[in-house]
Amino acid sequence: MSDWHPKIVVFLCQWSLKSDSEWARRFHQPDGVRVIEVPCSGRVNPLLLLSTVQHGADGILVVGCQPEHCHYKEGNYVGRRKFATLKSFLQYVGLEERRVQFAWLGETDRGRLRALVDGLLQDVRELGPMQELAVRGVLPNTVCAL
Amino acid sequence: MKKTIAKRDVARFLARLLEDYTVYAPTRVAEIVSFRQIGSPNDVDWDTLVTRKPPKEVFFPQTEVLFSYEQADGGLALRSTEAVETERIVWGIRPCDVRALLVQDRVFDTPDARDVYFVNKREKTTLVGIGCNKPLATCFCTSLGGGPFEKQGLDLFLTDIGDSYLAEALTGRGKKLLGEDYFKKPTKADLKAAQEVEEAALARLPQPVDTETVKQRLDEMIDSPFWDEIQAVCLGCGVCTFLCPVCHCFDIVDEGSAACGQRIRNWDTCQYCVYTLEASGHNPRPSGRERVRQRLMHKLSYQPVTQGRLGCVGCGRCVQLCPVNIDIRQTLAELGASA
Amino acid sequence: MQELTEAIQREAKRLLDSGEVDVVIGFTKGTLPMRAAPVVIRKAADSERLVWGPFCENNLARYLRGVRDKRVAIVAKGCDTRSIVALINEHQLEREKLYIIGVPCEGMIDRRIVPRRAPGEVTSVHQDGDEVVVEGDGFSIRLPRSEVLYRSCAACVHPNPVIYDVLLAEPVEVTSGDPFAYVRQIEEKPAAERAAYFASEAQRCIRCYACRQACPMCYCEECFVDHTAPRWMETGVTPAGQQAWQIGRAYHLVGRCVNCGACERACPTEIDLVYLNGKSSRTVWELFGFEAGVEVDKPPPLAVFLPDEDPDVS
Repeated sequence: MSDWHPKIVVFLCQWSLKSDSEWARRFHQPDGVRVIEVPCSGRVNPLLLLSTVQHGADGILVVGCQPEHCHYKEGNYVGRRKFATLKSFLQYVGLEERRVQFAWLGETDRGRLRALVDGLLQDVRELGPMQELAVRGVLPNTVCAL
Repeated sequence: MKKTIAKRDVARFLARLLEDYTVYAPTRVAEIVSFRQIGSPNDVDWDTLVTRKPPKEVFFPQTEVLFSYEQADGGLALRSTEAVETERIVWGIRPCDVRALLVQDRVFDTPDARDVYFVNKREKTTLVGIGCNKPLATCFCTSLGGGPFEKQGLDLFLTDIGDSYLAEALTGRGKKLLGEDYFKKPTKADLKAAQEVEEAALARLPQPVDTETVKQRLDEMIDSPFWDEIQAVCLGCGVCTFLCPVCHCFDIVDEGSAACGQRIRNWDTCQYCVYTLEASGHNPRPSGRERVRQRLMHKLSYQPVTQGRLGCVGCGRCVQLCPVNIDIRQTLAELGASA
Repeated sequence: MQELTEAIQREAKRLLDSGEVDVVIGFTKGTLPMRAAPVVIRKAADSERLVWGPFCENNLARYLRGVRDKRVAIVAKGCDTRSIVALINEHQLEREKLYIIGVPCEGMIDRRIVPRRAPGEVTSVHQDGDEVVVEGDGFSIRLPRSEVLYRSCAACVHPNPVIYDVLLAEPVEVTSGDPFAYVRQIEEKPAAERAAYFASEAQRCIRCYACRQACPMCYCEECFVDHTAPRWMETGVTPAGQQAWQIGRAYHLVGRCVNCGACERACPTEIDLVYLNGKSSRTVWELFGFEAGVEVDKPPPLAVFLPDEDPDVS
């Protein structure tokens, strides 16, 4: 158990970074944190989030811009509804609530990104490694259990 | 060689088999009965004639790893799937499902090409069949040259004669299983009971269909509007092919990453629109009409020519489970009837 | 039931005789107990093949895709009409080309439950008032209808067509109190139990995609599960692949699913799909006050937004 380190993936809207000067473009990613920059949070396909979980992420954070601050005007609005329904769904099938988080950064949120990432790391540490939604991999060549 | 075994001794027999063999039998999990590996004789479901998923998956698993790969020492290391080493028994397989296996043998085990995965499992498996005393209303093996007590392809065949089973060994493998002391010599009454049970079962089943006529008519009907009626309601869901004991199409995919992964074989179905979709975008079977037609023609016209066997064994699973009640028996009746 | 059968036959004959429609999509007698088979009628004389009964379980709106160049009549119960509305709202159907023969529905009998309650092989089933008579080899039993309905039918609050050109009978009374009762039951369980239930259901999935094929709303020319670039999920019957497929499809139905249950009825391994898709309906109701398929021209909830709303995402 002590060998385990949390692995989280952050889908980060490139424009929301502008609100947070603590993290420069090419920032040093803390251990266990993989950051994927996206042009807009609205671009994040929920299947991508599902796939991320299946590939071994213990936690996910999606960061976009606050309402009315989307560089593409409405991307974050579209994103919000998608993520709300996805999160509700994932919880329903047994995923712990704190593993998948969404945040909206605004002009006044300097330094908040760091706090969000640290917060998720802490939550995931408490929850332990992701067990739900199965482990990737094929069963050995036996009759498939039905 | 024929012996009898009292039903109360069957659990002991199975327990004995479990010591030396991996045993697959019909088991019930959440109301669905299919062939699975059993751990104890209590796992066996005795009440179900036709399992939901056919036993073909014991030889041709729905998802099978062909080999794994891994980046190593600047190259790619391949690791083959382990061959099955332990002897296996499939217990409680029905004559129709065995007949279907015989068709699959002609696909996977030919002089020109032997599928090592299938052949390995087939060679390591003893088939213990059970006759069907009370065929279901959806059974029609007799329409297509089969029967509820057909023994072809089996190693050991059991007939339920009330308090006991008549056990007939048909091969050396089957004979090997009859060594235990609870196997007794059958009496004349036992043999008579077996015969009566068989006659009663046959009386419940339909008459043979003239499959020659069916084939001829199918070959003439390529452009017939007959296909429009069925395909109008067919969902293209593929349930018929997944549950069919004969169907054997597969798709091969590589899954993983550049660093490591597996080459996998999955069941596929000719009923999906992407099945014959070519890279150019052309699809020789663009609509349900062509796909439904192809399924029936493959089973009733092409396979008799290419494999010398019909592609349908009358198990009735597609009839039971088609979501829109497309019934191949209706098609056979319409085609088999004289013009 | 017999009256409805005759009314449907009359209406179909009238429509085909007059040339008002080119085809009528309805049900005909099945070849097995508890089955009625979808059928497409083109000739007025074939109208007598149409039937109505408690086994007309398929969602016929599924057949409306791809018949856009003809005028089509469709026998539609409550859920079928809601699928039609949902499809119209997604610009998949043109209302003018449809003639909707509305049939108020009393619920369909679950052909999976009945055999399990019978002492032998079932040879015939018919409805008799509030009871269902089940007959077989040497037995005849009666079961309360309420105990053998499909769960989605028992929970249904829209048994009456919401859109139609003709309504062939008086609307039926809504007997369901809470359409989401079974969803709430699951929601109240702890996360570990929810995960275990989902895993045990998904484990039965044989990736046949019958659920997708039976669903009127799954009309994508290329389904996400068939994409290869990227490959979103494993293709085989592995736990990861099965669960991803179930979640993926359910997610794509958020705000679109009308809870008709066609998916669950098509599933050959009887996966509890109604519980899974029921959740998405409850979610859009709770978060956006939206119900699929009841109002024409109401846009799908994931295609719109309200700037001031807070769908409680964090």
